[in-house]
Amino acid sequence: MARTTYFGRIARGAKGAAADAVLSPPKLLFRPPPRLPFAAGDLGHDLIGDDAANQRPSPGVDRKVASRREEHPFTEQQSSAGDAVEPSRRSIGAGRERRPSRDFDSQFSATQTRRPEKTLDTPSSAGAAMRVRGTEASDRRLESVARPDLPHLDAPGQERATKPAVPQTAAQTHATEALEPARPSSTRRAQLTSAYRPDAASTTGGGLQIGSMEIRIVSPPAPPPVKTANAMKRETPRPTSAASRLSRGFGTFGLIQG
Amino acid sequence: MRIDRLSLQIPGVSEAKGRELGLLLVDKLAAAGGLPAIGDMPRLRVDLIADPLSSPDQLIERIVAEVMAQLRRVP
Repeated sequence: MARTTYFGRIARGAKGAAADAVLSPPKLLFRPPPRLPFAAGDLGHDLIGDDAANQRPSPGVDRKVASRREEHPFTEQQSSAGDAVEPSRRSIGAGRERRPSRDFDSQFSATQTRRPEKTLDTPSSAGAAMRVRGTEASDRRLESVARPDLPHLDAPGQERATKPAVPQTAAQTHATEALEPARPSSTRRAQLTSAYRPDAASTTGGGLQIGSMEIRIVSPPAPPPVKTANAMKRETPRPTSAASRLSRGFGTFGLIQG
Repeated sequence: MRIDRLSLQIPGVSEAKGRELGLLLVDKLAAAGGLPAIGDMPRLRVDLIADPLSSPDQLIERIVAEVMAQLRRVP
């Protein structure tokens, strides 16, 4: 059980074999044997100055601890009980591992005061609160793998946030526009384009399409002017020969030839 | 039926009166039956000789009849 520590060997080696007889025997440090948690007994109890506070709790506490380890629905209490139990396993000093047991007693007494709330006689809100605590604890475990900076975004918002701000290729840009719904401005622009382009009538859908309708009403031709006597005289060709001229000029009025 | 552009030239009629006649013509065309459901006519031209003795409604009726006649010939 007792071992010579490394420091003792160094001291003896440094001083030499001659000094070995003069020096006092190496100081021995005692290490307690590995201790089993709680129910292991009182090993190491005598090696360290013990006081009344380090007295081992009654075996009933161990039974309570064992029973409480089986109560997993109490997440908070399980974690606190684990804090009380686990350091005693890791601790080397025999005295320190006793001290959490006293805290453990107080915690366990608190557990006992809470325990009746879990029964069916209590209102359902108490059980619901316990279930909520358990759900929150499980959610905390899930949040550790999620992004902490974006905890409240929904799925589209998460995708938009993780998407690069500037698309890298033109194909990616067109693909994004194709997936998004058409905006009202683009729809209005298409209507204006078809309205101001006569040749775009055939591309705007079904039905009867008329690009340009031109209606021209012409005035009726002017009626022929009414011919008067003076006009008929003016339009009468003048005779060219002298005989005819004489006949016309004088024959009418009675030319006497004789 | 969709008309992208309507041009109306009536001599001796003011612009306001011509606008009224245009709207009346459109209403008459919309109410007219027997038009082809599907068709595409880039340009439709109607030339009529005005009758000084007829009323504007009669003029519009003549225009509608001529337009219908041309639209029925649309393939």
